[in-house]
Amino acid sequence: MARDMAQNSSVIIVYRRLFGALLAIPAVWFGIFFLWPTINALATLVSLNSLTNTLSSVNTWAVVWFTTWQALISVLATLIVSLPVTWVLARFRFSGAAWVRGVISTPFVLPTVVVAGAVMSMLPLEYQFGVHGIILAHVLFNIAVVVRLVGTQWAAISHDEVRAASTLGASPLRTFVHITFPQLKQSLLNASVIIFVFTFTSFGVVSILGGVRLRTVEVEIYTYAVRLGQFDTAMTLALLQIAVIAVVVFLTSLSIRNRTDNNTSISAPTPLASHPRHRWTIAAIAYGSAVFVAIPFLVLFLRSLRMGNSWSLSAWRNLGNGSLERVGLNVPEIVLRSLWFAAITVIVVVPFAYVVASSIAYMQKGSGILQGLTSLPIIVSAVTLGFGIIVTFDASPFDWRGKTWLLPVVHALIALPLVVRTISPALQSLPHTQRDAAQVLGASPLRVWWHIDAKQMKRPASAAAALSFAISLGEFGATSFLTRSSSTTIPIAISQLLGRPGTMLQSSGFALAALLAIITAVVMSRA
Amino acid sequence: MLDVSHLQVHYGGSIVLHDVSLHVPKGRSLAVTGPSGSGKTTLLRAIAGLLRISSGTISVDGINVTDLATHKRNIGLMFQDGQLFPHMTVAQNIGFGLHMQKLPKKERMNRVSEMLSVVKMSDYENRDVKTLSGGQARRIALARSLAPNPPVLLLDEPLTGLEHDLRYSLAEELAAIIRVSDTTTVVVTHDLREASILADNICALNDIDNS
Repeated sequence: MARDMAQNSSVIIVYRRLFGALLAIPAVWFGIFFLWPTINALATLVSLNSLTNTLSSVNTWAVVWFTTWQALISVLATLIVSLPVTWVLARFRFSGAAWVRGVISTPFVLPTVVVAGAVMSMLPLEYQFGVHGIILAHVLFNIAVVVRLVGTQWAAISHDEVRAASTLGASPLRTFVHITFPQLKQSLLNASVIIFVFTFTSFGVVSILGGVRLRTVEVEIYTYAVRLGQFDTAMTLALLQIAVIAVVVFLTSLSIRNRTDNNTSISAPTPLASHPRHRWTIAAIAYGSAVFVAIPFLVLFLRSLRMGNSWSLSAWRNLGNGSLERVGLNVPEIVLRSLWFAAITVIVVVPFAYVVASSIAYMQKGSGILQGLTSLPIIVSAVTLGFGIIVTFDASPFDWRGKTWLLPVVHALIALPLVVRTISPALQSLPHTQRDAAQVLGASPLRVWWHIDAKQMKRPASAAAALSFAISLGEFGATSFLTRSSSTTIPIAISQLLGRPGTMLQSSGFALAALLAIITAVVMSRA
Repeated sequence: MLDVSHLQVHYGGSIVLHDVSLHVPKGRSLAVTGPSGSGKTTLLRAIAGLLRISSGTISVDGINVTDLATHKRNIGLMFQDGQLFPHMTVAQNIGFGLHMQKLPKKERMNRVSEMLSVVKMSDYENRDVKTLSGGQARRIALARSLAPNPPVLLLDEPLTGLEHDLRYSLAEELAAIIRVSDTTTVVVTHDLREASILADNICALNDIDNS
């Protein structure tokens, strides 16, 4: 009834009409730059013949097999590495906990090429390319997913439940099996699926650390499309990838729909001092995990200060003195361009995501469909989107392939799902009675929006802006297809530097990756 | 003066309020009691214009406001838990309605100071509302509702959630403030003692059998 009251409120009716009308603008943008290229590429390039040829190829199944098992191993390895620190952060209070949480959450917001570059910087030359580096990079990138999703659920388990099991004679192991684990199952499944999707569609990490031998489906799509020019095979592989991800997401959503979990309270973490027997173990897990995550990035920074066998700032100097122009890279121009693209991405995606999130919050029917549509850029990977765009916008009057403006527009599309998910919860948690209170005090619906909604959404909107800025700065998949020498971005430049032989170029690649990590960290700290 | 005549409200297929009529003379106060789900809050929201009514009329001081938008009715409503705006200071909360009335800043500030002294919280002007206690927040919510000088004030369970002793002492304070303001008041509560402190008259809403 309270929800009915809110939905029938006059201000919500005005909001529904206003945002319903404004939704047409992002809908047209989404239709032109996402749905059209994706559907057009699938419809024109995938045929029965291409399906038969691709699916009967031994190479296809070898790539699919590698993609699947590296993703499964990545999920397993991430869970093994992250569960101990998730437990510690969720259940104990200790000095430095916020610092530990900050350090292990950072790689998730860093561009994949930076994470790959950091792993590469740690490995000896002969071991730089291989599945071990790929798995390690995936683990570093995804620890934050487990800490965030599973940790929240773990923190919600009451200490009294655990104590009650102990008083009834359950050992710590049996308490975990019978009390804790059943309550964590759903969040473990959710985290595993998210990590599986990220690693199954991994492009930046595998492009850099896979060498020429290891290829995921995503890398194979790029290879067929850009290097071999076999567009039909590339798009058939894209369809195969979309199908796998869609099935995994669908099965997971079924599992979520069948469960309800109303436990949203958080148990206060126990002070570490009250666990004298285990305090060293707990401290070792917490600080050890932070050091494990931090080391590759420290090494990346140190490697950027090495030239041959000596310490030197020349890799950093090379970024600014024009010496990389002989390999076609004007780094200051590239950095400025990336920052400019990121700013345009923010300007495009934040208002659009706000309109979408508002429509989801206020519409009476169809909010589920809208949520599903905004998730599509996750299911259809960035590489597939970039590929769809170059095969769709290739003829006048829509020959936009070489247009620089296309990059921030596509970056905004890729950022859309996460930005909507940043704004939506904040918008939905605004108590509706505040809007009612403003109305009875004489505010018209538009003034209610300005004084109540807009002013309280400033913080989530700035977090969304920082997130979309960081996503644009680090975007690699779609950009690989759309970039030209005049529109090279920082991640593309890093990939080119790390992919070429020579100590000077590689050190410069590490320096540029460190610079991108610093810029991203500064931006995200504003969130 | 508030007149409600043959008010009816539906949600979906069920009737929430059926043929409700009431008359509150100018400057007098009426308490509406009744069991949970009897439509007490719905009645206040309907009078304030926050939800659509199916039939009936609402008049304030002889003027029919039934079809007026909420923000044009100038009816004060104090919500169950105050609902102060968390992103505004105490003074900004109290001055919000005056700001909506486009009152010049100086006059607004004078009225805010006056209301703060009425609720005995003169030193709280620049306080963050998140730092207020439950009782202080209710006082500020009342000051905010009364600041624009509404002809009718609606109070929806104004003291719910407060401790027993504080609840009744605050009820006495609110009753005195409302009496001095000479505002026509309707208060909804399920507590008869609170109703008898806050209002001159008491009536009851009965549950509707929709079956």
